[in-house]
Amino acid sequence: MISNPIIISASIHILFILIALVGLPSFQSPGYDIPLSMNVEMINLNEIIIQEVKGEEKEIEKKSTKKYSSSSYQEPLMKQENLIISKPDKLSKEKDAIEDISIKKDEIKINLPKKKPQMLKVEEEILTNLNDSLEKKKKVDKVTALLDKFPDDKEVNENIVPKNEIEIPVRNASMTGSETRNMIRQLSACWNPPRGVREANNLSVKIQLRLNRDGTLIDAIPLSRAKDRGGLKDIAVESAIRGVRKCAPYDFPTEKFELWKEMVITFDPKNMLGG
Amino acid sequence: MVDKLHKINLFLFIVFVYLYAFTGASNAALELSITEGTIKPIPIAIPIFLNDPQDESDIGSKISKVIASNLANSGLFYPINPKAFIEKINNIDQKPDFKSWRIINAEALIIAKVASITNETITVKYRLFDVISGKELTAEILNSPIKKWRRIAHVISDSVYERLTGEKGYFDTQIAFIAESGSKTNRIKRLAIMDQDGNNPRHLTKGNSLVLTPRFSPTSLKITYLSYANGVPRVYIYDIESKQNYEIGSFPGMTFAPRFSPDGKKIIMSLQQGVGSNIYEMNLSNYEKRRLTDSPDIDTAPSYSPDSKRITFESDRSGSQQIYVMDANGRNVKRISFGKGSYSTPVWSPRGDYIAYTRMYQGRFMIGVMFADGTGERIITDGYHNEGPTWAPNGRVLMFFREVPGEKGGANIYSVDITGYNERLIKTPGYASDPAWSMLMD
Repeated sequence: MISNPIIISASIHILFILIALVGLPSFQSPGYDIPLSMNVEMINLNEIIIQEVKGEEKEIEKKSTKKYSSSSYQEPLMKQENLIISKPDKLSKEKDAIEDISIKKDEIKINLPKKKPQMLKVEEEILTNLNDSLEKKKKVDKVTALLDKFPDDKEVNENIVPKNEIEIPVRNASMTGSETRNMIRQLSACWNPPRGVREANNLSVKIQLRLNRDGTLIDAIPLSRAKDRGGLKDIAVESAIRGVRKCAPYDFPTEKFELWKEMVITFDPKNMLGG
Repeated sequence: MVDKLHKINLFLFIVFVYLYAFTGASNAALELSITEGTIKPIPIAIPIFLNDPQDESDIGSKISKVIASNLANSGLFYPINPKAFIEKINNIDQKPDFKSWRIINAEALIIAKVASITNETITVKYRLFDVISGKELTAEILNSPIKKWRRIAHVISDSVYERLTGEKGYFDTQIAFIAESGSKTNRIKRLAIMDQDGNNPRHLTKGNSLVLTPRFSPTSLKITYLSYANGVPRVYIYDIESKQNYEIGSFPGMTFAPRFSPDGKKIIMSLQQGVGSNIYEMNLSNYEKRRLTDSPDIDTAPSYSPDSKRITFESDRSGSQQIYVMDANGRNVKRISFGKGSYSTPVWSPRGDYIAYTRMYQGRFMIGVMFADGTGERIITDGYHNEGPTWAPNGRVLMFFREVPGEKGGANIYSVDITGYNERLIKTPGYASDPAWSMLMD
């Protein structure tokens, strides 16, 4: 009679232990395990470009083909005009960062026969190309459209952070009240919400911060992206990111680094109306 | 024994729950909410625009100075003294050294060059950067007749203002006003127009007859105003492009206080009837008129809401001048001003949120704003004589005129932010009154 409960109990124990051993790791977010090496990738890209300028075209081509062999990009003969459009916006939206970089590489390769010095060309890739868009000129008597824009390295970097990083469950950890107030004070010190943002209703934005132990900023990632570039939401995000970047490094309690190494900050200007 | 087993099971269950909770919590990011920031003008660096090497007119320098002046006058930007600049910009197609701009605390940077200049046209290229994030925000090429180079500066100012504040700009605009000359007892008043910053002032009428209350069309280069050209005060329209001037409608009495509808197709004004006046609307395509108020009192100074659905006006039907709001068909009239003193010249903001007005109390004249339901009243400026507010097209800046007392005193035009800060005198060649802000040019 007694043996039955013992067997049942033992098997439940074994089951719990199995769940504890095998099941638990699956509760962890896999996002942390993915190394964020994209900064390095971008630097490599620049190096490649510079080398190309030095005339080591073929060798570099090989290198880069190996490196980014996942590329299946097959439109090398795009018109010059289309080239510029490239794809900063698309680039930032693509999920597969490696493929994006390979596209960029191909574009640069196509640009090689151009008459202008290549170093200069590289700079132009980062900036909007104002040279090839003469038909898009804005006449002051008749105002026309804006030109396509390129994001800079940093922006690209922000966008290629693995998606599951952004979806971390958010809960309040055990910082004391005064510690939290001190953190809020430091974070709000440089936040200067522009007037249009202040006066819009409920234009709050969430920014994910990742910090080093010394309070320096690793990155600031907007958790909500604006649909229209240069729109009010975009301006709200930009002003929040400008604020957190400007005030870094932060003086947060180092013994609680684990709690604040990653934070989600909501910037909500609704209390600042008309200020 | 069974009890003991139950206890062990319970213990293991609790351990399990703790383990789960702990591993879950270790991934949680701290969440904070920031609801108060620090409001200050955005420090912006505007290096002198690079000139075309062939050109000796130094127009790049002039354009950059106008932009710096526009942005500073808005009160929302703080142009950094160029003497502090570390990096010398030589090529606008190269990425700036953002570090050197961060050192001098610049948050935004405009680099530009005069790409080409001839006897007739000028082409300017510029880029706007977010220095802190190291990101290009805007890049444009602008082309204009050389004579209108100031407009290039205004258009760039508008783009920069909009891109960084999220509000439409108001720099590429004109101000119609009454230019005053002569002694106080024998004042000559002429219809005039100038750029928003007081530059390019020019007269539109010769000064043979008294003119008052100019109001810009929100859709075209036309001004409606009151003139005594035929001895009787009547409403006229001046077409700036064709330089034509014409009287609108034929009314038995005097007409005054005209203003365009938001679509520019109608004029709303007062028509004298007996000792009082009523508000009429006139369709400019067929000159059909429609009476909107019917009272023996003085109803005047009408102004449409930007959606054309309502009209605000002043009336003395309660015994003193007060502000009222009614539907566009004249129904549902409601008084909205209840403060001490009297209220006049209500003007609906192009954004629709506020109504600006002149308030008189104990011999003082104030400019104020309130919401269309009469709440949120705020006095913006107060003094001996302030009058006639007009809205910038973005609804965030006002102009008005202020009289200085005394024999030699006269009127001057001022601009002020609707928060009441950043009041600035608009420099005019002589005395100037009754400003009317245009829409953004295009």
